[in-house]
Amino acid sequence: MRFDTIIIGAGLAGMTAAIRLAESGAKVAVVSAGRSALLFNTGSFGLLGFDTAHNKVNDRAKALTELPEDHPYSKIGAGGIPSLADEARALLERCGLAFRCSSNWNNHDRISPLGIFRPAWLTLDGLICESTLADMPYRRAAVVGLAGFLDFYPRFIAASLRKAGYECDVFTVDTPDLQALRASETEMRAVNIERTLHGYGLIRFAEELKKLNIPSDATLILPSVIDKDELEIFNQFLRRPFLFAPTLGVSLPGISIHNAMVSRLKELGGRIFNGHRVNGADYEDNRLTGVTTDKLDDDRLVADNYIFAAGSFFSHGLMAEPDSIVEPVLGLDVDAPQERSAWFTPDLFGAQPVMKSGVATDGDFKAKRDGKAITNLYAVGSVLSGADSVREDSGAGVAMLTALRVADSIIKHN
Amino acid sequence: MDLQNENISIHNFEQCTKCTVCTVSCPVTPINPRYPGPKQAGPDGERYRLKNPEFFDEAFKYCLNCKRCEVACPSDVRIGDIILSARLKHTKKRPSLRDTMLAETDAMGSLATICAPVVNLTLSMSPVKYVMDRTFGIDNHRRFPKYTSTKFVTWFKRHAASAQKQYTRQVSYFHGCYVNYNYPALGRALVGLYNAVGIGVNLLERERCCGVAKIANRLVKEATRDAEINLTSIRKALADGSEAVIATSSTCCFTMRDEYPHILGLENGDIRSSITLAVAHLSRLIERGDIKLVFREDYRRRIAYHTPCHMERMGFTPYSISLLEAIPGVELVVLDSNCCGIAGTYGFKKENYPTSQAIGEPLFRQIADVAPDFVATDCETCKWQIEMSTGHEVKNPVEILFEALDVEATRRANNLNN
Ligand SMILES: Cc1cc2nc3c(=O)[nH]c(=O)nc-3n(C[C@H](O)[C@H](O)[C@H](O)COP(=O)(O)OP(=O)(O)OC[C@H]3O[C@@H](n4cnc5c(N)ncnc54)[C@H](O)[C@@H]3O)c2cc1C
Ligand code: SF4
Ligand code: SF4
Repeated sequence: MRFDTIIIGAGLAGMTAAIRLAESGAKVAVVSAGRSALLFNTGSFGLLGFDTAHNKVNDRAKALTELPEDHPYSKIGAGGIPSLADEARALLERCGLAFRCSSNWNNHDRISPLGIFRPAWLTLDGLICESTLADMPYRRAAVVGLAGFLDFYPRFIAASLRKAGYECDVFTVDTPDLQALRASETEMRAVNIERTLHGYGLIRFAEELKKLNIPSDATLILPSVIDKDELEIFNQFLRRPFLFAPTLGVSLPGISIHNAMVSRLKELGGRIFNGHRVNGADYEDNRLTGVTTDKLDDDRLVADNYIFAAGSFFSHGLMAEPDSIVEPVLGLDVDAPQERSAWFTPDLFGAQPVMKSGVATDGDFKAKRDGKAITNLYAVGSVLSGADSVREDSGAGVAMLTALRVADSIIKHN
Repeated sequence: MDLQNENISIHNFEQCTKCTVCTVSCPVTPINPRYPGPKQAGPDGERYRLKNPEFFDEAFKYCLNCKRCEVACPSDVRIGDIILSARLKHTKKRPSLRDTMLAETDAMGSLATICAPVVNLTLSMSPVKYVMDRTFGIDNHRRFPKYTSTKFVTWFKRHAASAQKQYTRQVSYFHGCYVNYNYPALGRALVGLYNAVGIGVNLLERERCCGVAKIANRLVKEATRDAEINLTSIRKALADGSEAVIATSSTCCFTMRDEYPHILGLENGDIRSSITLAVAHLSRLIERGDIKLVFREDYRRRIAYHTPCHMERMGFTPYSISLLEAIPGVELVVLDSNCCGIAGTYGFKKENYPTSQAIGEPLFRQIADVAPDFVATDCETCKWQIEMSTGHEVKNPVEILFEALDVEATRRANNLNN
């Protein structure tokens, strides 16, 4: 099957590139071997939360210029970041997603699932962050946990809010629907709860919340377990302000971002090869001429350009062998410390060199193989080397900005 | 390291990272809290069961074997296979008469076609349904598929077989029970379509049910016997010059490609890629420039495509979609990929009926919203379920392609005379 561009990986990076290219009229296909790290996204995107010295970034422009030259942002060039960041946000909005951010193009504070204030670039509207907290009618909140739900920490969140100067109480709510779900306690997950809090289940939930004697001036802080299409009904029955806080594990905000991007791509005519693992590639003179997948028997997927967005270790875009770090599918070069002993430092909370490993690329994100750049194969997102996205809190930014940079250069060359 | 590499456990279960992605893609867990969910029933529980079979839970019977968990898993764990294998190995109760009846699709089908009008009438009468409900546990809301009075195979032998020899290229058609007993129109469409592009269709020397219903109802010995007959016939057909063995049912195709080796332990690596769906085979031939399809100009339809679970698992959905999209007058809406809830014989069982309908609910709602002229799908049980639950007609893509085909123009485009 023939396409203009084939994207390997349906995470934030792959979907961003695919949508951008499809919007320009290109025929794209996304191949994806399983669900991506987006499902764990808390609804907040990081662009650069912490600088090289691991201090919270206050002046983002300055922090960007201080990054080492092999960092993906340095390859884009610090000057190019703001416009790409705006482009990324606009793309998400075209997917029907609404975000909060800070007005001065800097980070804002959001609350993590463990109740810690962390810097973020964009936060999904409706989730608790600096800007939504400022919208609360009074400086008073009530964090409500669900009985038996272990992926949400009301006390931690309340403690952080109190520290930030809010009055805050903690409550627990239970409903017959939640009781029934608890029959299988390991299945008390945000997504399963969401499916029981629909229709009458949601109305019963609102009724139970009303019985809790929560002070009338408090804004409710609930775990994100309610489908956004149900919010109107919920509002009608609850009749008081509320915000959501993220949960651990597979999260509803993450799924809603994933679904919105998939719908947008489908609308634009992009094709998705769900559940296909790319397992081989043919090269000719530094060009990729086609890829195979584990599902297509003898068929090959062929395109003018290819984008490799297979993610990091979690998604198997990278793999750790006993003595090396490899890219297991396309045979690409990997930047990583040679010796296993150099992967780690003894300080558990310190920077771990292994986290910066990834596919080697040239300045235009063309992937390298045997030291040479493949002319029609780009790597984007967390499969790239040079960023320690967990420590820097830069995962979403690196994914989207590198994807847009590559998509833009493919569009320009056509 | 070698030790690690050489000790790959069955169905990849040690690859599990406990990420719970599978749990959130299971259609059963949110609806039936008694079901422990894919992660718990699958890789988690398997660790314990290896030590002590007492950890087996009868509630695993609620698994639909839809394999949606496997498609979602980022680490290629064959969760559905783990659960199904555990059920086959550890379930203590013998399959009931009801389960055996539902599973014997061949025997039931043969009996029913002989007296089709009577059977259809009988199955649709409420006292009969009441007795089936009470005595056998077949839910009385269930509408049974209609049995035809002329089996596909009978039609083929009488009206099509002799004409096939004129074609140099040949494929073998695995029609499956449903086409044979209930939906011969699909089989006729397939023959018409292939003949129009100059390819002859033959039947396997012996075809038995693919075995999906027997596997689901734990009749492993019987399923294995049928599977062996099918594999022998397929090997013979390929040796005799068939280019491929094609099916029109995604589930039959999936069962022969993947459940035979993974669940029944029957090696099929030598022929697996030659067993395929007609839509995949046709797409491949079109892509290579071997054949051309020319469609009628007056064909105008709004079609909603539903992705069956096993189609999703095989990864063949893009074939059906691209073929349907190639028909100029078709406006195709691809529905969100959700399970319809029937899962073969699962939804026929009284204890599963409410779960089955609740699972299908989002799909039925979306179909109502899209309001298509009809629904397209590659699976026969999805067809029953959607027709029963939405009132919309459901067709197989092959039938649609043939309906939209300009046969004369197609024959000319493929250099066939007359
Ligand atoms: C658990 C977790 C939680 C995170 N939470 C956040 C957060 O809240 N905020 C934030 O900003 N960042 C977060 N991150 C960082 C995250 O890595 C980035 O934000 C971003 O989502 C990475 O996107 P990606 O597209 O590069 O990779 P991924 O999302 O990992 O996607 C890779 C895709 O490639 C596919 N794939 C891999 N190999 C193949 C193959 N051979 N063939 C076909 N497909 C293949 C995978 O199946 C997957 O779909 C989190 C990361 C993880 C692991
Ligand atoms: S999705 Fe796969 S890796 Fe994740 S918990 Fe389920 S089986 Fe394990
Ligand atoms: S096969 Fe289907 S029903 Fe069974 S555990 Fe997996 S997703 Fe759930």
